[in-house]
Amino acid sequence: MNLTKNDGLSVFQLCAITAMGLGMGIPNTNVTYMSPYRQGFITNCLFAAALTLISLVPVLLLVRAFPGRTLYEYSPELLGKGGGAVLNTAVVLVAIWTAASEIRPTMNILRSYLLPHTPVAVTTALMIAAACYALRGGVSSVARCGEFFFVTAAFCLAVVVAMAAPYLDLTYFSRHLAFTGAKETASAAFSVFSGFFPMWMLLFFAPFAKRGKLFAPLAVTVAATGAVFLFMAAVVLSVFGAALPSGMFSPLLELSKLIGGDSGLMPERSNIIFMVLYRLLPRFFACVAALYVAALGLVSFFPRMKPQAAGAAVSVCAYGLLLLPMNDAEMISAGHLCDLAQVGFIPVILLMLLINVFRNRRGSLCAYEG
Amino acid sequence: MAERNAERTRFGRDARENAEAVKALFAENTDLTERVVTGADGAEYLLLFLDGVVDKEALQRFVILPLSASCRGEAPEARHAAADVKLPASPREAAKALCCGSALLFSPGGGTQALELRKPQPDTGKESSPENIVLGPHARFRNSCRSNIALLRDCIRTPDLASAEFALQSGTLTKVAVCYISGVADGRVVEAVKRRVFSCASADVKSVTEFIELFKEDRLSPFPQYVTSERPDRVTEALLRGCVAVIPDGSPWAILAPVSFADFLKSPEDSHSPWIYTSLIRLLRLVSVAITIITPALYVAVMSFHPRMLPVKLMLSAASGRAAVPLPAIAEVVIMETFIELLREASASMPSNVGSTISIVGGIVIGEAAISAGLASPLLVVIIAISAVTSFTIPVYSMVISLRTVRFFSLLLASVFGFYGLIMSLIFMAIHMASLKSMGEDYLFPVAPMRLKRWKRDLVRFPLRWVRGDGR
Repeated sequence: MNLTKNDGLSVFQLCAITAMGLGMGIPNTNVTYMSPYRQGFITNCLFAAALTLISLVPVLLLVRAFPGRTLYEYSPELLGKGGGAVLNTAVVLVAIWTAASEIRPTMNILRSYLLPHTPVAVTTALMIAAACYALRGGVSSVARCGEFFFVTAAFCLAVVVAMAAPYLDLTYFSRHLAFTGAKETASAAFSVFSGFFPMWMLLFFAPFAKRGKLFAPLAVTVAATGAVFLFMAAVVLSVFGAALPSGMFSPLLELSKLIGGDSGLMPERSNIIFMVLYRLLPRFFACVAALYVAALGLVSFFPRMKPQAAGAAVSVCAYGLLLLPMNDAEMISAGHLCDLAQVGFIPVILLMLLINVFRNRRGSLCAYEG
Repeated sequence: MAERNAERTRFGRDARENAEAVKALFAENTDLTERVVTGADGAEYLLLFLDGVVDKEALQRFVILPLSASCRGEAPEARHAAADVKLPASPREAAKALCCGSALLFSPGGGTQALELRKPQPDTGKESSPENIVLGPHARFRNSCRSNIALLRDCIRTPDLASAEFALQSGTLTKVAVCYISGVADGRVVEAVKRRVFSCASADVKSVTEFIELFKEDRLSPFPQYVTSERPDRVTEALLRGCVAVIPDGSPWAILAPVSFADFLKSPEDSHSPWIYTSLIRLLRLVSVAITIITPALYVAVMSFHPRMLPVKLMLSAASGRAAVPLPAIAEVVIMETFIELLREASASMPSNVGSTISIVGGIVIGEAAISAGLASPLLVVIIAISAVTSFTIPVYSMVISLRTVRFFSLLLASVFGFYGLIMSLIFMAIHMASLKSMGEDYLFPVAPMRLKRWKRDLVRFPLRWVRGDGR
């Protein structure tokens, strides 16, 4: 079931979507936040990437077990009608919350640095309208957007890295590749962990892939593209972030010096570039993907609902969540709740895989349904 | 191609069967004409020729009349006065001769002759104005559908070039031809185009102009989904790539489908220029698209919301230029854009011997006068001029118009939301283009969906031997 008929995705589109989810977490974690862990930043990024990729394995197995069907369709078969309905509802709600949480920090930063006099409700409405417009075209349109944004973001990162090349200092690399211990590595890696978002993207987009056998090429390609994307982002941040310990927006101050010299007018320039490269595109696409997951769930509950109406409904819900007056502490708590929900999803996936194995009485976890 | 399974390799004794064997080699063609000529002795001769390619007057005078005339003791097929006569050994050879402008004469008893009677295609002489090139042929289509198909047959001499005709249901008795190369064009695309043409032809369409508009406007999108061209070489290249051409009678414009955004950045001159130069020019055109859309909106965003984004010296220069302008940046840009559009429309409508002079004078006078009157800053005049010039580097005029239209959307969002609005407008455009299709083909192909092999041909132009075999 997909939002429009006759949609299908290519393996590269799936890889681009998943890699976007993989790569977007890293740029949002600044060096200052990482400083309590006496761990190299690049090391943390690579371990976090490994964790994320490991989390994709059960998802791939589940997708392979139910080719062409989404979670909303086979969860009632595995967990019973009631269990399936509860799971599906939870997924829809978490997806809407995830969409809102992707946008909220970006809008706050926008208000702080770019548009201090424009109400957040107005800037948010524009972004939600764009997300709703993206949903209109169906899963293949969303996938093509993801593919296009991935290529654009990767190109922009490559340009930034190229411009930073004269300022690259290998001593920073050696420091940020440091490894101090397993416990610190684990805690640091989890703090950089980009969440289960790539897993969600894979779970809800992979059923629409045109190719039947996805496992090997998808796993390899996701690993390769995600690693490249992560590494480039990590390099940029480590190079700039190490030089200026002033926090989240320090990374591109050096870049802005390259453009116009040390004129004391850098913050605006650096923030604008930062916004485009690291915040807007990946966050926007993450919001679109999450809304797509939610809209898909809504259509599964109400089959007679038009896909465009489902997209609009979830967009309105996400917009409403964004307008909720929440202070920073409440926002962080809600974010943790969302993360917990996503963490709790892994055992559910494993449970569904086990149930499927026992149901089919086959010895392999990779059994096809048809 | 399926209908040619029973291809005969030799001619038989029956004229009708030989003619059918040749006809079977052709994909559907409405310009393939058969004529029966009865000789004075009562024998029936079959003439097969392509209408529009063969000189019918010469055919009548030198072949049909002598065949029909009474003459004793001489084989009728020896009486015609065609200058060049060949004897094709097989139906395939005969089909090739047909495509090259010969008429086939099938005699009772099995003889087959290919008579060279090609109609000379007069040089159009006049350069096609919206598609000017320096290197390459300077031919263009005419208003006759049959002549245009003949021009295509001049370039593509193969029986696989198919043409199907549809008649408009209005009283004008106008027809529309759908041309494609059988075996190269995707069958589903051909059927989709035919269905579309049929639905447009069945509608209450009074003229060719209405048909073209109805055919093209299948979505509320500012971006064109079809390339229109007056040039046979562009249409030939598209057909060889697998596109389908819709050629209406009464208009020199052929409609090509399916196309992607990259096709609008290709010029017919590209294949006649060195590949390095062509690759750089295509990348330049891509940059021109970005400049056309972004620069006026960027000016508004920077001047209104983020002036500190500029380096100090540029910022001071821009500020001093705007000191005498009482209007906000958006009003300044809208006024100057309106001037440019008025100039463009006026120069397009005026006679060519005064149009260019008036355009130059008008541009200089309006630019200077606007600055003196305080309606615009010098920086803005430069930006508007650059934006206008870059828009005209796009080879396909329909895309030029679209880009000049969509940039007002960027301008609007930039005037309200600054740089964020500009980026969101580009995101909106990207989303729109990602969901757009041209007869089933993705509009952003080969970027999304990604086909790296096609970048060698579509985004840049690699040498032919590096590109061959990459397929569609």
